[in-house]
Amino acid sequence: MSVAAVASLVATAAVHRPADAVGPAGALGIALAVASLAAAVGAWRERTAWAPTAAPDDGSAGLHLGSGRRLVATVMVAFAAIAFGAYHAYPFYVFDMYSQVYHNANRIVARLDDGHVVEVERFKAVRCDHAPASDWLETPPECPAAQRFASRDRFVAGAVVARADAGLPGDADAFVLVRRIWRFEAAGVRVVDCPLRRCVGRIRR
Amino acid sequence: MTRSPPDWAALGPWGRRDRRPLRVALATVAVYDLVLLLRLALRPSGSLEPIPGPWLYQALALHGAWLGVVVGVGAFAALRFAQRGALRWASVLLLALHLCEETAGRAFRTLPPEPFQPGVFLWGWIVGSLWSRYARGRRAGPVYAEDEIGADLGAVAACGISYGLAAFAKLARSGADWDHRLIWHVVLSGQPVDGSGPDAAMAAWLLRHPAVSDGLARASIALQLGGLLLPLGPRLRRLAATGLVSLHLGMLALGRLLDPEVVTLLVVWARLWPGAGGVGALREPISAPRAKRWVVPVVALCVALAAVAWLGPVRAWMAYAPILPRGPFDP
Repeated sequence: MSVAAVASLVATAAVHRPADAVGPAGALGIALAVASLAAAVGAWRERTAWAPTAAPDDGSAGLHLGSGRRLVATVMVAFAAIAFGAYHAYPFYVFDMYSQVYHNANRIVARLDDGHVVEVERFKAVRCDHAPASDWLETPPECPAAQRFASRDRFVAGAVVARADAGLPGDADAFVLVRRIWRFEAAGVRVVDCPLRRCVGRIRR
Repeated sequence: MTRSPPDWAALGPWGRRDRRPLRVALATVAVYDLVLLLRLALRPSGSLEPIPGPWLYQALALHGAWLGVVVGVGAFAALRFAQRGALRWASVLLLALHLCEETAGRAFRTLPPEPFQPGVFLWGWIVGSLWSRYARGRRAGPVYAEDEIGADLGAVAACGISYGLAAFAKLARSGADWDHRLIWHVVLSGQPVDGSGPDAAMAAWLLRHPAVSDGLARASIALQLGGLLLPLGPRLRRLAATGLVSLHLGMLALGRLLDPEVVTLLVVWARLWPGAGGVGALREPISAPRAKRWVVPVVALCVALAAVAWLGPVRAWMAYAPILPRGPFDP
């Protein structure tokens, strides 16, 4: 089984250093296949000297195997029942994130005057035309609807707040904070930029 | 060769070995999450106010020092839990994690899913440990290492159902439409827009080959359903855990979604490393005078919690309105 773990790690590392012949996603597919195969082989070869072949009927030693299985059933049914009742109340949750059908992807980025887009984290200091407020992450009504990745949006918002510098001179790099939306259409992926704020900043070169 | 009689140690790869490494791993990732959540709660996020909610979370969100106290208490409980495995310290640690998650989520205006797994494992650990103690007719007193065989089993069962629920949610909500678009969403939302190199090349390649992304999406559901096999035996636990670790490493590669907590716990719980040495057997003899099939007090506790979750105002109380839907599978 240890072969499986090592194979999984090595194969995943291959995703970051993909072989030219197979490409990155091919490497990922190979990673999953190799890991699964290695796990199956490892599981088959595993030997545990104490492993039983039949349940005891006298309860002579150890806790009864059947009781352990009932523990498993109790934990699983209880967790599911509590999670569906409460929806989310740590540690109970139905884990329904990513369960919807996605029609787009999007993220907030900085579009420079020359048309290039960069991550907000690339800036050392930022000054925008309005102070960030709770509503500036919302997509304006004139833009196509976007299924937001909320935590990523919050990190970008945090980066803008953390880099705010009201004293930036006017000759700093001008850019527009945009929500870049990749729309998944029948003909392919279409990119739409939705302006949110005009800003200036000092970019790291 | 004389074989030991079968018991529920046979349901996991740790067999009759000491479960202290499991406790240490669980305590470590719990402390990691406590610190992570504290930082998240105090991080400037561009929002004006935390999400309205119960006064306790509001108060903790507005007064970070108190949340720091909660983290301190939780870290102390984690240390004691790692040392002794006492249920009261496990409970205190779970409570501290609950307060930090719910407070940080409201302050950050989103529900961070990653820190849930240490809580899921802890809850299963507590239920499993209680079950074991009642089954053996030893309700009070110190926790014996043998009792932690049940705790190990309960924790991995809770983890397994969490993955099963995740797969069920996808199938119930989207069915066959849950396809390459999810992979595209994760890749494009996660990869830097100005990136270059293998990651950017991989994103572009996946966008050109939706069939590959379809396969990855469906494989991820299969791997999550495999989580239900985690508590059913040592081989199945290792098989399912390897698949889930692969899933999380794939998510890291594709969308920079990092889940070190659950990956650590899966690796340790399934003993996914070369060799089996380094961990001693239980110091005390295995003894079980009774072999009860059901442990009524623990079942009753679970039923009571479920009744409160369904009949009480828990859902309304915990809601993140209007940030999150108020119930599972709501639009």
